[in-house]
Parts: sequence; structure tokens; C-alpha cells
Amino acid sequence: MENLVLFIPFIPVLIAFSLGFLKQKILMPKISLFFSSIVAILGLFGTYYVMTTGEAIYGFDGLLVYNELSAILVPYVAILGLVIRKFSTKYMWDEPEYKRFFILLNFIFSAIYLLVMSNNLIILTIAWQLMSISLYLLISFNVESKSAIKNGGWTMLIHKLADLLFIIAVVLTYKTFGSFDLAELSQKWLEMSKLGPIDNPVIYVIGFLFLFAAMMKSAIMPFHLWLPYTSEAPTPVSALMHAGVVNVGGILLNKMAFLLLLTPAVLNVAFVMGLITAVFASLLMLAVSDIKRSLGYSTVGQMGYMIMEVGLGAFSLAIYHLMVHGIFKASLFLESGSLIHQARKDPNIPKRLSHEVFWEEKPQYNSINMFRMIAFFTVLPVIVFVGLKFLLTDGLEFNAAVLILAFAWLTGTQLFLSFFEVNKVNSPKVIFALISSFVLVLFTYEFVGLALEHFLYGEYGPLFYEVATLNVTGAMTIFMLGAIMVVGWLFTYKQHYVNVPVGKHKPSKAKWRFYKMLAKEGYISDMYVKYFKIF
Amino acid sequence: MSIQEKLKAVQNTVPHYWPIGAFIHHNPLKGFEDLNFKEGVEKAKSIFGGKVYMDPDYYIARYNKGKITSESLEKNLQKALQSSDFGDYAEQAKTFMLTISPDWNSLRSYEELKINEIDEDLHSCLEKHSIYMDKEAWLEALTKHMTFYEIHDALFGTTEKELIEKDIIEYIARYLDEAQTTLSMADRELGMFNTFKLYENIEHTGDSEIYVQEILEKLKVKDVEKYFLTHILKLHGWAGFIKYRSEDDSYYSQQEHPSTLMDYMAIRLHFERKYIGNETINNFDILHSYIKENMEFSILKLLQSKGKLTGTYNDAMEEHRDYKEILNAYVTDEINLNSLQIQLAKKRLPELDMSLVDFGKFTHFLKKEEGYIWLKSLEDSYITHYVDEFTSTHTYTEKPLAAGIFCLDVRSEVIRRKIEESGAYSTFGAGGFLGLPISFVEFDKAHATALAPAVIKPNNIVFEIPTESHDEYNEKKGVTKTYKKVLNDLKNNPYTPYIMVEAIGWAFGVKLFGKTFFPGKTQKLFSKMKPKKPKTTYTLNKLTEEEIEKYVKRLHINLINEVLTTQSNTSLDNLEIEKLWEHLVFDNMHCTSVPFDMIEKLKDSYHVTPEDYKTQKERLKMVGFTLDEQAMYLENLLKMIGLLKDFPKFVTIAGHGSLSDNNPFESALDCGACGGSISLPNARALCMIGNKKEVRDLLKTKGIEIPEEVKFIPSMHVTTTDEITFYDTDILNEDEKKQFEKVKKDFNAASLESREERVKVLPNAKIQEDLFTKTMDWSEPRPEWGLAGNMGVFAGPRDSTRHLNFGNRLFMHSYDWKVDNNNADLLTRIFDGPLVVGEWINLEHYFSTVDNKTYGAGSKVYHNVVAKVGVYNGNYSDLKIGLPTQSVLTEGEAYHEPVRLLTFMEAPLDTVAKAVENSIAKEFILNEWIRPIIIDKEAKKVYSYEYGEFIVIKELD
Amino acid sequence: MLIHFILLFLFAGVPYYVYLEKTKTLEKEKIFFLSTALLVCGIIIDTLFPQEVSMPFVIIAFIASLYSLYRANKTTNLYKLGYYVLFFNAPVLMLFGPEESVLYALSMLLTLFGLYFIAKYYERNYGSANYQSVSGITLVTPYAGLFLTIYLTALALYPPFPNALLFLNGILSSDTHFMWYIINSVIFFGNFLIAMRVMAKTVFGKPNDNVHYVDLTLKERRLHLFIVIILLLLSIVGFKELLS
Repeated sequence: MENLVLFIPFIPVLIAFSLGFLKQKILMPKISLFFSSIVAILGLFGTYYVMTTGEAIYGFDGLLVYNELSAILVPYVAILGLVIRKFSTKYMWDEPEYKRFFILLNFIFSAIYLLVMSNNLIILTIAWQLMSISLYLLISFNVESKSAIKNGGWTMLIHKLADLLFIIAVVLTYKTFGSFDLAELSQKWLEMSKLGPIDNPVIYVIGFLFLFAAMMKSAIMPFHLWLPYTSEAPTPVSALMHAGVVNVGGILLNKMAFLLLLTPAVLNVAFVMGLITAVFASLLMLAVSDIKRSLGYSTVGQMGYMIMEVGLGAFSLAIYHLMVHGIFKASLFLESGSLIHQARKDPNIPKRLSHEVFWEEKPQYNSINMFRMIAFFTVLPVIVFVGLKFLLTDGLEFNAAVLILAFAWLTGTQLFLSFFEVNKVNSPKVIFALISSFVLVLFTYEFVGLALEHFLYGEYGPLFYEVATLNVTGAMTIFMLGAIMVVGWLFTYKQHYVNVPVGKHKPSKAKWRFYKMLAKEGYISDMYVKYFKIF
Repeated sequence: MSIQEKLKAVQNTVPHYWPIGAFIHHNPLKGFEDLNFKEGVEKAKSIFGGKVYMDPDYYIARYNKGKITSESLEKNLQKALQSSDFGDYAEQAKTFMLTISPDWNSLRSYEELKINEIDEDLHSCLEKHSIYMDKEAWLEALTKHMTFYEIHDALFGTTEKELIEKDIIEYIARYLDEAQTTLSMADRELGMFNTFKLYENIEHTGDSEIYVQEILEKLKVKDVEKYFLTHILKLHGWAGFIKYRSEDDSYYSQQEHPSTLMDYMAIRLHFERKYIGNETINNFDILHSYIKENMEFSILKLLQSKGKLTGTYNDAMEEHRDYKEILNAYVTDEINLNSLQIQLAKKRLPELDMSLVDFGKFTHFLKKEEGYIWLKSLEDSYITHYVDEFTSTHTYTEKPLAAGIFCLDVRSEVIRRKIEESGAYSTFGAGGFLGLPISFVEFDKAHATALAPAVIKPNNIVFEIPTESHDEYNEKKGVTKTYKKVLNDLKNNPYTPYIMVEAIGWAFGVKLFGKTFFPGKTQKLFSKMKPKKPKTTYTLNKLTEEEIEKYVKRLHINLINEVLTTQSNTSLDNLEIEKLWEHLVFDNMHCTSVPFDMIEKLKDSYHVTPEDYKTQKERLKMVGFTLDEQAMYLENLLKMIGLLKDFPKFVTIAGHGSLSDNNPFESALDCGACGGSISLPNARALCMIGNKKEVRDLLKTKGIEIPEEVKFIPSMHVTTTDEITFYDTDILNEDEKKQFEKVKKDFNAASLESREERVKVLPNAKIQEDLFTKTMDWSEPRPEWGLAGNMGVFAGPRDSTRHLNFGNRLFMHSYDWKVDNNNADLLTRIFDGPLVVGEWINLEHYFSTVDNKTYGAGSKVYHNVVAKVGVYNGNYSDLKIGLPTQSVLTEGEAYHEPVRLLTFMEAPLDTVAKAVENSIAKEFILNEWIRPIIIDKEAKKVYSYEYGEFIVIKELD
Repeated sequence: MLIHFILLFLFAGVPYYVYLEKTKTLEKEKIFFLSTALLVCGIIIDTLFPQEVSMPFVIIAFIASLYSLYRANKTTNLYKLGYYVLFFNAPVLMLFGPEESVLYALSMLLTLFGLYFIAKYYERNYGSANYQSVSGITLVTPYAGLFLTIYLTALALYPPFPNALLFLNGILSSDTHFMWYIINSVIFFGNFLIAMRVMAKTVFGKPNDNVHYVDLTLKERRLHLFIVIILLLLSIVGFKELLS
């Protein structure tokens, strides 16, 4: 009975084929939706099974598996698939090639399921490549547009490179460990890791190849360009891309988690590149003037953060991150058109004469002591986080994972600052409500994170953190931590409390140079336009 | 001529493009309205490319359905043929248009060429008249409207265009950004070109004009005017938007970040020069001499880049064969194909007695004229049909209980019909702004919206002010505002989005899933969080001097108070604040504990200055209307629609607006006469005026007696669902309320009926409830058909049209020429407001339908909101002008039927002639951008204005 | 030794570059057939006399192959493209073991025959097999678009088509050394570049107003469907090979 679950990757293919013979347009989304709901139900059933029995479902001679990772991801992808299909039903109605769209959509979902559920490197390779091609056909859906095709071409180029690295990695893995079976390999890797440090350079090469393949598909800088530059895909495809396709990097690394146990250097590289991407991409996000590309850079940043988490050993947190981010980003993408509605309601014009002038009651403004506030509310999150940190990790080891806390601290600070900037009230009730909801959110977040880790990796969870520790001194970590905190705090502070100098002032050359660099997106896109002329 | 003048000479080629938040339908070929329609569109076609008429297939399908009558086709064909030598071949011409023309391109087939012999006479004739023989001219034609870099790309296979256009768009989108980005460009107040100098690090002291001059010299451009036009056409959406904002002083962003078309030109030319500068061929002189030396190669390359070279020549090009030979082969084949085309066509008309050469001319003539002939025949068929209907007599005598005044918008047509059917009601149509142009400041908003057609600048400001305490509103508003602000700040920060996503990202799942699968319930959930607006009224009366003084003072003092308390933590008592204010505004000496930088801040960032004091006073002087003005506006409206006596008990005036979600083009669905905004405020204001006793007294002296029991009730018509909501009904007493209940009930029934009718033509809707879903469905690209389908205007009494079902295709303006004066003032006013808006709407739809790629916005599926001013495709493209495909097409087929606005007017010819003479619409009326039809029931004649004169098209008995 | 020369000659497009290209005695179409025939001969010789191919020959073949890649990215003629692809893939056929190279060659030939029939169709309707100005066929002639997409996807080494699977199979079952990685990577990527360029230019793009488009006839559609079915059958074979 539970083996039915393993048919999930083939259901979308069947839908695609049956759509091919369908004449009536109205039936296409209906059939798609109906069978996708079956996939979702099957997925949920599988998850229930895995959770209750605690064992994975193997099938097709061990080629496919429905394990803990699939149990989380398959229902997520299935539900996302339902949303995207339902959204496209009306949204794409007027497009020529409605049928082709739904067929391609089903193919890519099939590839994603196959990728998530594969237990064999060969199957994984096939799924990995299937995804590339179906993605290409989807983002070039607007075939009449030259730029859509060209950007599709770049996407392809990067994905093909990822395919190549992946294949080489698979070949090397086979040559080194003599097996394609992932469960078997994982077991082997786990045992090897217990034996102490590895000195076989080939294993490091394999680790790096997988990492780079994952980074290419997850749009980590400098391989990110395909993602922000494919805004010309239909909106639902963009949503799918940002919520589903880019995540495969994270999924792959989780599948290879035990291999990475052997290779701390790979994790360190992942950490550094992820961190750089996270910060730089979100700066670019702020400077881009169109909504879809801006969201694109935001995703790049989020993926950077996800890879950074992997680099820190927080593998399960990365999975959690990619799922919540997917939900978040898909909803932002699908509603990207409502930006104009908001702009109409609130044009960016300072308030002068308004109804308030005619209203006899005097408006109440409460004074707040800004500096005390800032001091208080930046210290408070620190206390909360440090406390949490000690609580959760026994307050013993001091590893790079503490960097996540630096981000959390900045977020907390920003949250309070924004809150008090608009809400000019001093009522203790409100402040208390805010703090308690904040703490609540935090605890749920930590709780979910831990639960997920326990579910996915069980007793092995802490192993990763140990391995991921940067091979640098604690001083170095503290320094980086400090740097991130100071720079981030400065940014927040500047954004909120320093007004642009008024009156005559000289434009600053350095600032313009920095802005130009942002406007040119780090000059990476120009490089692509200039040197990759094939498409 | 100076550079500036040269730019001026060509800039009108592109129309204004308003920001998308106030989508104003306009004629995309506005700059050609000084020409006759037919010549204008031909000229536009030569400049923009693109089609200006539908394909023959489209019209033939209409002909076969009987929508185009054969009489009108024959008449127009005859008329066209008379101007040529082929007057006797009407029958054959018709056959050609109906059967041969649709296959015209397929007759140029290579396969047929192999088996057919080419007629020599025809061949030599075509050869003589072809452009191929004069290579210079051919080259000229090929490079027309090509910039230097495009020619360079075509000849040498470089990709400069992409780099240049990308750089240009990246800069202007960032400069014109209206707070979509968080890290916005700095120093923009310096102006578009000066900021550009900082951006590109250019050492140049002159202004954009000098800079343009310098680059033009470097590029050695011969015909500057033409080159400007070429550049403007490359991204004419952006150019149109920059042109619009540079000409509208009241546009806030323009005041803050000024831009001109010359700046834009400087930016374009800068990048062109920057990229071309590195090439060996880097100015027109060198380019021309290169082309002269490699004439054949250049022509072939240009042909290839335009996709005109087919397989075999491309093969030959690839093998680098002798270019002269290839070109000769190409020319021979082209002429052969052209001859073949004519020969094969002739074969299909065996009995035609004409030489092949003459037949060639004949077909050439017909191909050129057929678009216009078809269009005019389609229009004429409608005209004949409707003239018959409008002149058949129907009388309605029942005394109505209520009258509804609706916008003349085509979407009011169904609801008006249904209301009239539902009981004793009469309806009227007028421009949605009701002749009352106001600059409206909504409750809790800071900005004024001009509620009037784009051609009219309102002189009166109206504020919406609360009449009840609104603490609850403020509280809720505070919560949502905080929530939004916190979320936004967390999103727009390089460090914080990550943890935020992990902490609360899942909460978006409710939205993602809910909005997709249960739009109704989700909408309800979210609307509970929204603050509810308190009861409001409008400031309709002028303010006294003292009041103005009081309000300005209050404005400033509130501001000072806010700044001081929230930013510097100095709290002053009222007296001290007043003193500080006096110091700031009147320069009174004042000693205060307020720090100096705070005072500077108040001056510089918050503009508490003497100048501001003056400007705010000026603005407050514009608030409201004098009693005379109020009476005048009401009188105007009543006269315009001819409602001067026998007032029904209730007169409801309906404003209208549309509801949709996730729709950048939402304002295109709101009231066109109010500049793409909801027209409810105009309706409410006019009703408030109408219910005033003083106004009625004043009107009485002018001979319009409105009985006391008559009540004006404003209402709001949601065009997506045809719902009607009434406002300000609390002025009614208990008895009236009871009576009014019946009106409400009937109107509701009418709404339901209208929805049933509307649902039939909308895709993805089966039952009337689906229309409600469409208002809140984020996956709905077509919440309603909007103004698509609009075909004509009828100005005259409703009785002439009441018996007809127009299926939302007619603008209906009530007008009674008997009320009009000798100077036709009323009709002139209709021309100046509603007709202008109608023409813009009509032609926007016309051109978006005939060629959506050139004049429309393409599909919504690929749209990307940029800088909060518009949408474009992908990551950088031209700003999309016009309407999206979903507004005019259905699954690729035209839903909107492109015809010029058929303007039926029930009035004597003299009246109309006078109105035309006095109106600002004179130019486009006389140039036939609309089709005026005059139904003169006095003289018992119907006239149509065509070919420059009024001709009688029907005599009435 | 002699056999090496023969193989090189038969596989690597040498005759074409040495003689045929310069003299233009043969039509492009015929060259395609000649090349496929030579390839088949090569394969047969290779299986009949299996032996280690020495490195210098592979490197020479590789250089010729790189040149073919360059040429393939310059041409817009589908016939030419066909035999350039053959020449381009020659080195891997030498590197793979006999069984793998037969299978890979088979799937490649099959795909190229599909492409050849598309080229024929182009020639008939658009005057020549040149696709330069015939853009956007997926919109106007959906069947031709579909089949061409399939062939190009297969050539670009994407699953589920056999080329990708058999290529992978070849890689996995041969011995590795440094040159091996370089050659395989280049061939893997090169095939993709060649195919995707065609995809972008003719399958996609804006339909050209100057071209009168005609879709595949029913007979042609059946033929292509047949080829695709065989390809998919080969895929199953490839899949089995891979897993074993």
C-alpha cells in the first residue's frame, strides 16, 4: 500500500501525456489539478507513514525512496504545485500554447519529485538534468521575445555547467566508493567520518563539485545571474522558479550531507560564498527599480543565506529556510502586480494639507526618548539571543553557528526600531505585547528548527556543527561577528535616524562609485552580455 | 534652427504617456491628428511600423456574418475607385478583396516560381518601378529609422544595441523611480542630465543641449532632426513618459526630480558614443564611405538583419560567395516573385479584361486602399443600422419615481437599460466628472487627485473631512501601518530578511493558499483588519480669510509640534510653539530653547517657511466653490442632460469605479472622464450642492425650479459587478426612506440582471457570482471587459435609444438641443470634455487591437512593474504604453471591434457646426478621427461628415 | 597503427575538411550521407578489431572536433549542422568502449536522421535547409517545432533521450585520465552549445513576416513520430545499460 507513494514522480508525466491528447481547453487545468491533488494526498499519506513508523519506504529496487527528507519536501512541492496550477488556470488563459504550458509545468514537477525521492545517483543525475531542460522550455515560454530567449540561454548555460560538474562528481563518487546507492553511500560516509580526518583529495574534489553544482542551481554569486534575469517568464513560472527550482541546491546538499561530513573545507567555502551572496544580493535588491528583478535578487540573497546555513552545519535549518522562503517568495511574486494599487493609494508625497487641518481636535504626539529606546532595544535582543544560545547549546562550544545569531540580533533591532518609528506610543501594554509575541515567534522558530533537525538527522545532527566549525581561531569568529553587527547596525541606524543633509551639498564621489557598482549589479550582467554571445 | 527647436519639431511624434497609476486612455497617434485620419495612419505606419487596420480576414469574416453590408462595401469601393483609373472594375475589385487579398502573401511561393513562366512586360515594368535598381535609395530606405549602432550591429554582427539600450533603461528607470527602490539614486534634484554626469563620471560643464550638440558633431550626424526622431522611436514609451512629465508642472516627481526630453537625448547619445567610440567605424562619415565601398555586402547584411533574406541567399552568404551575384539573384527573385504574385492573382480572375501591367497597378491600388475601405464600410454598416433605429419613434410617458444620472461610459449602458426595465425610472448620461472638475483630497490622504478629463485643470480643491470622531479608524490604521512598516523595513534591509523569513515566512502560506483557493473567504479575513472609514463630508464652500489664516497656522503648528515631540524630545507649550511659528514664518525675533539644528530642519525638511505660508494660503483659497459657482455647475449639468422640469422625487447621481486585484492596469478600468479615478466624489459633491436650499433658490431665479421634496442622492456603480451603493442617504426623512427602499430594491434587481448579461461575454465566468470572485482574484488578468467594445457615442434624448440593446458598446450622453443656446454652448461643452475623452478611449482601443505589439502593452503575463510608473517586459524593455492584450483580445482574437467613434448627435446641423467651430475637438473632428453623424429631426435629414463635407445619408419622412 | 589512421579518417571529418569542403563537388545533403556511411564503417571496424586507441590520435581527432565545433557554431544550415555534429562527437567514439560507442553512435545517428528529415522539410518549404530567417516555428508550425525541439534536446544531451543516457553510460564504463576529462567535458558542453543555438534561433523567436510557414504533412509527422518512438525505446535500453 505505502509503495504507491513511490509513483508520485510518474503521475505528472502521465498528466502531461494525457494533456497532449486533450482537445478541450477547459479540461486541461482541471485534469492537472485533480491528479496533482492525488499527488498531494499521496505525499501526505507517505509523510504520515514515515512519521508513524519511523522508517523510509524503498522501492523500484531501491532506486527511489520516501524518507524523512521526502516526507517534508514532497508535500510542500505538491501543495506549491497545486497553487501554481490553480493560479495559472485563469492567469494564462489567454496565452497561445496554453496546453504546452501545462504539459511543461507537469514535466518540471515530475523532475522535482524524482530529484527529491531519488536514492540512486543515476536517477539523481537524470532528474537533475530533466529539470534543466524543462526549466529552459518554461522560461522561454514567451518565444517571441528575444530577451526572454537570450536570458533563457544564459540560464541553460549555467545549468548545463551544473549538470557537467554533477556528472563528473557522480563519476568520481562511483570510482571512489563503488556504488550509486545513496543510502549505502551515506552509511559508508558516516562510518568513514567516525574514523577521523580524511586525506584522500578526491573526496574533497567530489565535495567541491557537488557544492558548486548546487550553488549554480541555487543561484549563488557569481552564478546567480540566470535567476534575476528571467523575469520575462510568465509570473507563475517565476513563482515556481523562486519557490521550487532554486531550492534543489539545498536539497542536493542535504542528500549529500554525510559526504560533507568528511570535507569541512567544502562547508567552509559554502559558508563564505553564501555569506557574501546574502549580503551583496540583498544590497542589489534594494537598488533595482523593477519588482521582479528585485525579488530575484532577494531570492539570490536568501539562497546565499541558505547555503551559508549549510556551511555552518545547520543542514536541517537550510531545508526549513528554503521551504518558508518558497512560500514567502511565491506569494510576493504572484501578487507583484498589486504594487501599482499600493502606489495609487499611497503615492510618495509628503503630507501637507489634509483633513487633519479641518479637524478641531488637536492631534496627540507622544515624545519618545529615542536614544534611550535605541540603547534599550538593541541590548534587549542581545540578551534574549545570548540567553537562548546558552539555553539551546549548553553554552559550551563557541562555533561559527553563532553567526546566525548575529543576523537574528540585527533583525530584532530593526524590528524594534521600525516599530517605534511608526508607532509613536509609549504604552507599556503595547511594548509588552510586542516583546511577548516576539519571544513567542522566536521560540516556535527555534522549536521548529530543532524538531526538524531531529526528524531529519536524529542523533547525527550535532556532528555537522562540529565539522562545520571554521578552522580559525575563536578570535576570528568574534571579529566577523562584530563586523557584521556593526555594519548592519550602522545601516539600520542610518536608514532610520540620519536625515539626508539639507540645503546645498556636494555630491560624494565615493558614494556614487558605490551606487554605480550597485546599479551595474556588480558588473556581472555586462560581462555576460559581452562575452556569452552564443544565444 | 537650434538643437532645441529641432527636437521640438519631432517630439510630437510620440504621444504623452501618463504614469500607470492614472491610466489615461489617449490616442497613440495624437501627434498625427493634424492630418486626415487616413493620411495620419499611413504616416504613422511609415514611422512606427505596425499595422493600422485589421487584416483582410477579419473584415471578410464580418462581411460574411453580415456585419458589413454589401451595399456599404460597394459604395465605399466605388468611391475609392473613382479617384483612380479603375472606375469600371468595381465588381472585380470586390472579388479581389473578398477572395484573393487574404491569400495575397501565399501567392509569392518559390515552388510556383519553378513551374510558372514570368511575363516579360510585367517583369520589366516592376523592375523599372522597384527600388532595387537605385542602390543608394534602397540603402536609404533600409537604414531609415536605424541608429548608428543598429546599422553597425547589422553590418558587423556586433551586439552594441543590447548593451546601449540596457544602460539607458537602467539609468532612466532608476532616475525616474518613484520610491520603488529603497536605495534610491542620490542627488536627483540636480536634474536628469546633471545626475547622469555623476552617474557616468562625465567631466562636462555645459547643459544637455551643449552635450548633445558635441556628440552629434563627433558622430557627424547630417540630418539632426531625423536622427532625433530615430532615437526617440527606439524606446518611445519611455520618451513619451519623459515628455509627459516634462510638460506637467504639477507632477510631483517632476518637481522633485526634473527631467526633459533633451536630457534623455543626451543620455542616449552618450551611451551610443561610448560604445561606438571603441570601434574603428565610429562616425557616419566613415560608415558611409565603408558602405559605398561595400555596397552589395551592406545591403545584404541589412536585409539579413531584417529577416528578408531567405534560405538560399543565407547559404550563399555563409559561403562568402560573390556578394554582387547574391544580390542580383535576390533582386531577380524578388521581382519574379512579385510578378508571379500578380500573374497568379490574375489567373483567379479569368474574365477580367486588363493587361498584366495594368492589373499590377490595380492590385497595388487595392492593397493600399483596402484597409480603409473595409474600415469605413464596417462603420457605415453600423451607421445605417443605427440611424434607422434612432429615427424610429418611441415615446415614454410614465412619470418616473427616480432618475439615475450615470456616467456616459459604455459600461453604464446595461445597468441603465435594466433600471428602466425594472420600474418607473428614467436615466440620463453625462461625463463622469459631471462637468464639475475638482481637485480632490481624500480622507486621510495627502495628495490631491484631479477628477476631470486630462484636458481640464481643476481650479477648486475639495477636501473630504470626517463628520464624526474617528479614533477607532486611527487606532486600526495605526496597527496596520505599523505592521506594514515593520514588515517593509525588515524586507528592505540587507541583513534582516533572512531571519524574518524563517520566523514568519510560513504565515504567508495563509495568503498563498487562501487567495488561490478561497479568494472570497480570504478577502473577508483581510478586510476585517482594514480600518473602516468614518462618515465624511466635503468642503464645498469657500473659506473666509480668518479660516484660511487659522488653518495654515494649524497646519504649521501641528507640524512643529510633531517634529519637536517625536524628534528632539523638547516639548514646548502652545504659546511657545506659536512664537516659534511666528519666528519661522514672519521672521519675528524669538528666543527659544529649541536647538538651532531643529529650527533649520523645520525650515529645510519640513518647509515651515514664509513661502510655504503663502503657497498653503493660496491653496486654501482654492478650496470650495462660491454659491454662484455651485449654482452654475448644477445648472450646467441639468441643462446639459435636459432635465429642467418634472423632476422625479429622487435624482441619483452615480459615480463609478472598478474593483480588481493584482492588476497594474486597474486605473484603466476606473472612470475615464475623471483621469482614471473613481468618480464618486464628483457625484457626492454635486448632490450636496443640489440639496442646498440656497442653490435651489438661486436656480429658481434662473428659471429652473427644483421642488423642495426632490432629493439628490449620490451612488457608486461598481462596473465589475454592476452593484450600486447609495451614499448620504441620511438626509432623507423616515417617509422618504421608505419610498427610497423601493428604489434600492429595484436597482438591486437591475444589478443582478446586468450581471447575468455581463457574465455571458466574459471568459472564466459561468454564473453571476463569478463576477464577485473576479474583483478579488489575484490570478484574474481580466476582471471585466472595461471599455472594450466601445463603438460610438449618442448625444441626444434617451427616448431615441431606450428601446435598443447596445451590449455595452455605446457612450450615451443625454442632450436636448432645444435647451441649448444659439451659440451651442452646451454641445461645445460636450465636445470639449466627454467627446475628447471618448475619442482618446476609442482610439486607444482601436490601435491596441489592430497592433498590440506596437501600440498596446502586450500580455499581462509578462509584465513587470518598474519604478511605480509603468510596466515593462522582462528586465529591461521599453515602457509599455497602451492596453494589454487581455483588455482588447480574447485568446488572441479581437474582442474589441476597431472602428472610429461613431458620433451620433441629435441636433440641427447649424448647432453642431457651431459647436465644432468653438470646440477644442475641432481638429480631430474635421480630420475624421471620429465619424460625426447628425440626426436633424427638425430638417428631417441625417447627415454624415465624410471626405470633408456634410452629406445627407438619409431623408426622414 | 593503420587501423588508427583509418578510424581517424572515417570518424573525424578529415575527408571533408581535406577535400569535400574545398571542391564543392557534392551537395551538402550527400555529404551528410557520406559522413554517416563513413561513421558506420568506422564503428564496424572498431568493433571488429577492438583495441586501445593511442593518445596522439585521440588528440588529433579532438582538435578536428574543436574545429567542427567552431564551424557548427558558424553555420545556419541544418545539413551542415548534421555532419558537423558527427565530426564533433568522433573523439568520444574513440574513447568509449566498443559496445558503448555503438550504442551512442546509434542514438546520435537516429537523432541526426530526424534532423535530416527536418532539414529536408525546410528545404522544400523555405528554399533551403538554412534556418536563419525561419524563426519562431514552435508558434506557427507546432508539429515541426515539437519534433525539432525533441531532436535538439536529444542532441544537447538531455534526458530522457538516449543520447544523454548512453553518453553517461559511455563515461561511466570507460577508464579515466586527464585528457579523458577534458575531452568529455568539451564534447558534453559542445553538443549543448550547438543544439541550443539552433533552438534559440529557429524553434524560438518571433515568426518572420517575410516567410510563408507550412507545417509538416501527415506523412512526415508519422515518420518523425516513428523516429521519436525508436529514440524512446533506445532510451529504455540506455537506462538499463546505465543501471547495470
